[in-house]
Amino acid sequence: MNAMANVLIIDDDMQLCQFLSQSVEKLGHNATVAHTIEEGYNLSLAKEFDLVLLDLQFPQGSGFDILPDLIRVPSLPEVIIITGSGVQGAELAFKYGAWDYVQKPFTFREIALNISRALLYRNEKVSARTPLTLKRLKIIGNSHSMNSCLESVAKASATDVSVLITGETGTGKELFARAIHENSKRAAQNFMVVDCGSIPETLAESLLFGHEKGAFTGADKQRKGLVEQVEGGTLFLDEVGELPFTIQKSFLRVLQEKKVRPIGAAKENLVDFRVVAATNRNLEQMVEEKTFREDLLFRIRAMHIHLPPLRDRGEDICDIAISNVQRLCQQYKIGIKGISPEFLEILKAHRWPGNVRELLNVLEHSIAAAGGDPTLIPKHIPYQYRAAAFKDDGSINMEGARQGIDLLEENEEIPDLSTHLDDTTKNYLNSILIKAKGDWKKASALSGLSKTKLYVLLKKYNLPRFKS
Amino acid sequence: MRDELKILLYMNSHDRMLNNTLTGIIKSSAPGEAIALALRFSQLKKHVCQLPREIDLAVLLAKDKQQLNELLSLKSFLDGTPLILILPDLDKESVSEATRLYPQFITSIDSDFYPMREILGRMVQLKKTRCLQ
Repeated sequence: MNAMANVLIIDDDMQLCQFLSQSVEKLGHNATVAHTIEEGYNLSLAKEFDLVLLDLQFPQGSGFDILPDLIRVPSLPEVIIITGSGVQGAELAFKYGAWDYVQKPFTFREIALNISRALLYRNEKVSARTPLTLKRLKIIGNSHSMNSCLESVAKASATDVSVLITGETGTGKELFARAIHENSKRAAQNFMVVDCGSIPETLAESLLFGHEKGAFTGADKQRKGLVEQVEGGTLFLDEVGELPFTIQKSFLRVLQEKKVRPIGAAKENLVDFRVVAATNRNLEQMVEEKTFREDLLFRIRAMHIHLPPLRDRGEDICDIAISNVQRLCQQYKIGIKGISPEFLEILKAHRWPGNVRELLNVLEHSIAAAGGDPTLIPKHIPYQYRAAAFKDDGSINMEGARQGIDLLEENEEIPDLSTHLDDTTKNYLNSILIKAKGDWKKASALSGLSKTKLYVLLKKYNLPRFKS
Repeated sequence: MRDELKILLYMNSHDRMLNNTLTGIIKSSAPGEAIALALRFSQLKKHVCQLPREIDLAVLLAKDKQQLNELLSLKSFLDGTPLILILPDLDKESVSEATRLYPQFITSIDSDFYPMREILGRMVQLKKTRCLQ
C-alpha cells in the first residue's frame, strides 16, 4: 500500500470540509470532499479510499444511512464518524462498524491523531501477511520487548509506510532500520544512510536534493542528491531530530509529492524511496519548542518502533553475549571460546548505559584480552566493569569473590579479603580518575560518592587528588 | 580510555596531489586526533581486522571498481565504524555497491571535497562527544 492515503470527507459544512481537507493534506494524504451523503457514497464506489470521514447530520438524512454500505464498498475503507451528539452517536458509530469517532469541535492535533491511527491500523490490516521468516540480521534476543519490536519490524517490512525508530544511544536503531529494509520489497535497492547530525545547514539542500552545474559557486558539475541516489530503496535518516529546521519544509514536500527539484534545475524529478528515521531525542518536545515541524513528525511517524534499553531486557544479555562471542571468534578467525558463568554474571550485573553497543565493545575487548585462553572468565573483562559490578553489589558480593578466585587461580596465591577489596577499590578509583579528567563534579557524579568521601579514599590509596 | 580519536585514512593511489589533498582535509577536520594511514590494502586489513577495534572513523578511497570490491570484502569488519567513502565515480552501480558498506557520506574522486571536509569535521565532533562524554 502506498504511503500516501486517499481520504474521503463527507460533510455538508463547507468550512469544516476545508479544515479537514487541509488537515488531511498536511498529513501528506489526498483529500476528496463530498457535501451530500449521496455524492459521498457514489464517490466511494467510483474511487478507492483508505479512510472516510463521515458526518452524521445532513439536511437529507443521517450519515448512518450509508454507513453499513460504505464500509462494504470494494476498497473496504476505515470510517471515522464526525459527531456532535457525544457518546450516543459514538456507540451507534461503533455498532455500525466505524473505526473511530471524533466529537465536534476538534483541533488539528485531535483529528490528526485519529487519522494517523486509522491509517496505521489499515496498513497493518492490509499487510497482515507478515514474512514467514524474518531476517533478523544481528538482532539478538527473545525477551518479550524484543519480540514485540521484531513483530513491528515484520509489519513495517510488509508495508511501505514511513517508520520512526526511537531509543537510547546504542540500542540498535540503525540495525532495525536495516532489518526493515532487508525484509521489505525494496531489499534489492539501496539503503542510504543520512546522518542528519553531520550535515551542515548550508549544504543540506544540495546534499539531499542535488544541484545543477553552475547552480551556485563551486557547483562545477551536476550532482544527484541523496534522495535520488536511493533509487527505489530506503533512505535512513539517522538522528532525524538534527535535520536543519530550514530544510524540514522542503523535505516534507519531497516526501509528500515524491518529486525533487535539484538546486538550479528547471524541472522536478520523480523519486521513489521509503523513509525510515531514527532518533534518541523527544521529537514531540521539539515540536513544542518549535525546533521540529509537526507535519514532518506526522509524516515520518506513520509507524513507530521504540527500542528498549538493554537494562530493561536483562534476560537477553546472555544470548547477546554468547551469540556475539561466537560470531566475533569466527569473523576474526580466533578459535571458538567458551564463556564462564561468572563472566556472564558480571555482564548481567552491569546497567549498560551505552546499551548493546557498549556490551559489544566489552565483548571485543574481552576476546582480545583472552588471547589464546579457551574460555572467557571475569579477568578478561575490562577492569572498570569488574570494579563497577563489584561496587553495585555491595561490599561483599559473590561476583567480586568469584572474580577474585578466577584471578587468583592463575596467580596461585590468595590474598585475604581485605587486601582484595583494597585492590578492587583502588582499580575503581583509578578508572574514575581517568574518566573524570580532574573534574571533581564528574568524579562525584560517576562514582556516586561525595567530594569528601572521594578525597578520603584517594588519600587512603595514595592516588593523585584533584587540583581544587 | 583514550583521550583522542583514531581516524583511519586509506588511499592506495599514486596520485600525489589527491593524497596530499585528502591528508590535508583529515588533518584540518580532525586537529589533534590520531591519524592512521594505510597506503596498501594489506595495511588497511591490518588496521580493521583486529580486536579490539581501535578505529573510530574511517575515510576510505576506492580509486577504481577493483578497490571498491576490496573494500566490500571487509564489510563485516567495517560494520559499526562511521565511514566516508570516496568512489571513482558516482554512477548508479558504484553508489549501489558502496551503500552495502553503510557509509555516512559518499563522494567521488573528482569532487571538490568541500562537503566532505565539512561533514568529516562534524562527524569528528559528534564522535568525540559521544566517545569521550
